[in-house]
Amino acid sequence: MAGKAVEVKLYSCDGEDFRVPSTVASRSETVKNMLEDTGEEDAVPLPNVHGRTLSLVLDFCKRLVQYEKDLQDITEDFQHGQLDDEFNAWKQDFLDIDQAVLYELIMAANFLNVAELLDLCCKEVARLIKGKSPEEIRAYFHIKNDFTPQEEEEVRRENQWAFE
Amino acid sequence: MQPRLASDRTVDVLGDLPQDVLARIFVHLSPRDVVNLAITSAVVGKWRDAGQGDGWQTRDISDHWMFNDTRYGPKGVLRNCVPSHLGEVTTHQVMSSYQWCILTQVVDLQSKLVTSGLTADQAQAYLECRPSLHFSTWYSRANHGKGIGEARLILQASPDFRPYGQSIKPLSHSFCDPLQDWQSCGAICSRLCEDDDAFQRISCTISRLPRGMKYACVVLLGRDSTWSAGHFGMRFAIPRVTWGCGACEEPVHVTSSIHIDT
Repeated sequence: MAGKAVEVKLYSCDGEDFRVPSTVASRSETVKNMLEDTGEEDAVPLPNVHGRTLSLVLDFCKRLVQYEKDLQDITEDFQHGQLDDEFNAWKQDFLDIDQAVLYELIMAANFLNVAELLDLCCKEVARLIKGKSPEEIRAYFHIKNDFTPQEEEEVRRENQWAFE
Repeated sequence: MQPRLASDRTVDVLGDLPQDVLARIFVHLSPRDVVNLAITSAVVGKWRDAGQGDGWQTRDISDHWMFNDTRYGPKGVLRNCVPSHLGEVTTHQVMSSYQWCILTQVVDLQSKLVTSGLTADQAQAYLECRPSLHFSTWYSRANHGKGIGEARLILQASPDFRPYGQSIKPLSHSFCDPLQDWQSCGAICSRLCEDDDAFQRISCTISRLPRGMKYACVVLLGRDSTWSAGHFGMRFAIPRVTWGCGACEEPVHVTSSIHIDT
């Protein structure tokens, strides 16, 4: 009989507690290293991750663990594509967040070192940038234009190769 | 339609993200998209005069960079570059003059941990766990001829850092091949010799931070091996110290980044 999965306790900077299986928590290299150092009995403080963001990170880690488990369980090749499609659809829904939340998620994924989540978020930001003009990027990301027109033209000229 | 999760905060996403995260974003973009992004704001795309040290003429640099003049050398110059072929992206590089130039920065490791959100006690405990530390930098020759130089990471218990007291000596002309001669205790050093314009990356991981070490001193040296006035020597981009192992050549837990820009 399989033993009960060990649960670990994480708590966010705003004092929210999360109990998750260690298999889920260990998707974060940062948490994994801390658990190895301190043991799984001790609660792990994550002083620069807010509860709402940590909840999202853990949602992702749970789904990732489930996906990988499902992959191991499949018996037919066609099921592989089906699982991928389901996971991709889930990720698309997962990223239905506004850019401030996306920013917090990137920072958390970076700090917690969840490579799959960081890659996913970075691809999403890249998707938001692709094909946009500088003006559109400024508007979307609230970037203040502190170039003079002459400076902007100079940068364009220096990097003309990219447009050829 | 409103996103499922929304925030009323306005965040300059690109201005606030760490440079290594930006690099992860940029690899998914075409050069055109990257340049469009660089044009959006001076924060990510423009040189600004800051440092005035002879030998190194640097822009967008932190006050923590120190300079040593070469007295007779011309000032190095910077060129806007978006070397997306690096796998990392920067618009910043430093270039030595034909005579020896030195660029140093002392990183307070414990303070960096505190900055990233740990308490002072947690930061100290983290250092006592002897985590891995990864050091990397990109380099290439800066002009025609051959650039030579060194990249060093020196670990110290105290911030008192005197590069010339640490026996940093100019290399002889005999270094013809790239030599990666990492030493695992206290100081690591790579001697560089470059006759190619393409950037190359060197890196090293200290698998367990030596006990008591709280400061990482990065030293970059470069010159042109021909000693020819008017020529530039070595150029460096994205010198970086990160926590974690460098086996995959990607920092896995960035809490401290040394950038030429701030």
